[in-house]
Amino acid sequence: MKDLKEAVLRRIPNVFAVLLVALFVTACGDDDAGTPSAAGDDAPRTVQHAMGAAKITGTPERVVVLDTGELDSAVALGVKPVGAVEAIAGDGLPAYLGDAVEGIKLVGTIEQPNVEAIAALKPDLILSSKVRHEAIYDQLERIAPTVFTEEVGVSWKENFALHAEALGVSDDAKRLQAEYDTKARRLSSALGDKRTATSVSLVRSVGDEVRIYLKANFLGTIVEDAGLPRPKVQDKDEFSETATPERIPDLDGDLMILSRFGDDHRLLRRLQDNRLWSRLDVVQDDRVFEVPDDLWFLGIGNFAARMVLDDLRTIVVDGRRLPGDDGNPKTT
Amino acid sequence: MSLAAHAVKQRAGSRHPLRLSGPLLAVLALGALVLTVFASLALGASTIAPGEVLAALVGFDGSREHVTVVEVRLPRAVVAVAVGGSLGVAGALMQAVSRNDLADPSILGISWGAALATVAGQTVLSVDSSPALVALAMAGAASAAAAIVALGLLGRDGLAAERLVVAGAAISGLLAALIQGLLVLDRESLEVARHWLAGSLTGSGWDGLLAGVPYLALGGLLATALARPLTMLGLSEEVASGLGIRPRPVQAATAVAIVALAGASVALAGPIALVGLAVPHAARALVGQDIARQLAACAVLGALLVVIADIVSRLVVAPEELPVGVLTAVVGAPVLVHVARRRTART
Repeated sequence: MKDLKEAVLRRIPNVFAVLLVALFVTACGDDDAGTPSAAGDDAPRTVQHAMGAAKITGTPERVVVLDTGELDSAVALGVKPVGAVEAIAGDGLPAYLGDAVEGIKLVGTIEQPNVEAIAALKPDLILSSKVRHEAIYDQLERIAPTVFTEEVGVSWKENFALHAEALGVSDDAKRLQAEYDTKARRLSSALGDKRTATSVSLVRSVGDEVRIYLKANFLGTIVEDAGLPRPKVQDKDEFSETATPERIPDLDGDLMILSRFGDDHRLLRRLQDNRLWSRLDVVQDDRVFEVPDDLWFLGIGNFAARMVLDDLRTIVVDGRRLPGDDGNPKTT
Repeated sequence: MSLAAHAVKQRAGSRHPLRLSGPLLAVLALGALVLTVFASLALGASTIAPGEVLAALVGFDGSREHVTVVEVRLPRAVVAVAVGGSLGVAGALMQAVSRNDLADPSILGISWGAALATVAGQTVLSVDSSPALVALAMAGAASAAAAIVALGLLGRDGLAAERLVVAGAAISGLLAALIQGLLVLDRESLEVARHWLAGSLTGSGWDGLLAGVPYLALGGLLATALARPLTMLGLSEEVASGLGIRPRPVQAATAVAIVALAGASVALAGPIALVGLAVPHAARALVGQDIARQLAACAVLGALLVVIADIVSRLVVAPEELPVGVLTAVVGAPVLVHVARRRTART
């Protein structure tokens, strides 16, 4: 009974939309020269996505995002979401987004979004991915049109395009993606011949393991777009591998990007206390660069990607450290 | 032929030990152990030539390969030997004292007691030093052992073998549930503990081993001293008391040895499953019913099993690693089924 009522209530806006369109068509009659753009905005668009098709009307204004990549996409496209989730409970939204995320309501964590809190925000669009939230798709879709990408991370460019389509601003997305491409090309040409001698090792401490990031992830694609090579052992089309003490030599390169997620870095510390660590070329040449994890590993969108390219340029072209990196990788 | 030896022969019954002389067997087993330890120094994420391994051991030059052999793989192999040997001996002691060939530190919940105490120490008390964690593991193992003994005293004629195993499974289940509860409350520790709880030697170092050595030594010495009294008690309490051996102190000392060995093993490498079950059965098949020889055989075979499991854990998904406990469980589970079926067939 309740379901039926909900179903009817849900349909009401659709009924209105149909009526509106009908009225409009009647009013315009056969005069199809110069159809007003208002008509285009009010007609529902169908957005195909990983879980099916979503009907979206106009430009959504009350958007809820359930992962860091979706948040980044929205901010890049000038849309401030009404609700977002935290990566770690209590940590707030990514610092690199600054004022752009002020006032956004927190609706749980990536791992556990609060569906009731999402519904209370009365959103007109929900963005997430199948890999993260397939289990609650049905609930979300009952709250508002919901658009899911298949994956997160390595597919960030396609995801950005889909987010833009859902938000009704595909042209802006194309322009921003072209800006990213230009930045990447400029970084590559600024390095010139030095490029081949700048292999980038990507290492991230996440608490239960220290990961060697390979090529199939957000940062892997940026490093590749910038034309920078990877150490041979890291040149694989996979996401990541675990750095055990045995594998410390595999962390070497011409420079190492080191990042920390969370607060527990005992395993990283164990690796750093190992003599194999101090024997690494990157360590002996003082070429270990610490980077902010929220931007480099959690951003996963066009906005973050352009900022990462700026940071990467600071490191590999100017040879400078980022603010907050004191050059001592053992500081926690 | 003494009365005791005669009885040993009778108990061995139709299950004759393999006819190899003791010294020959000892040389073979120790030789196999040395070879596997050597292999574990050579194999891993990168393969290091045997000559280079030898060079690293006798003339360490600080090269990448030598550091890998001496500072990464050697402590790990030594921990594998210590943990495997201890679990083997602890299993043999448990099976002897309970006269139950299904007894094992992980089946009867002692390993889980040590694991719960260690996890609680890390999450609730934020303990991070190796000696403190080993001490906590001891306390946990001792509490679980006390619970088992208490259950054993409840029944009119002590616990029958199968009921002891059921009681152990209940205690293990309870302790594992408590561990999960603690970890859910503390998400970050969940991540750190995930590998360790499956039994892992990754990252084993000398500092952890040093903290465990006193307990391992205590357990080893006690086990050596207990071999004869346990053999006598195993024959019959009358024979034992005729020789001036009283059961209670022997059983108490055996419990202390089991707690020391199993607790230290868990602190070093997590609750590695079923080594203490499988190894004593293999040992009995090789050396017969004499407990002194069984304990020696269990020390070597346990070490052999864990070192081999550790090598395999590094090679099956190289350059990634599996938890070593997964592999020992794969070996141990069929033994458990086999022993349980044999018992059912007999009764």
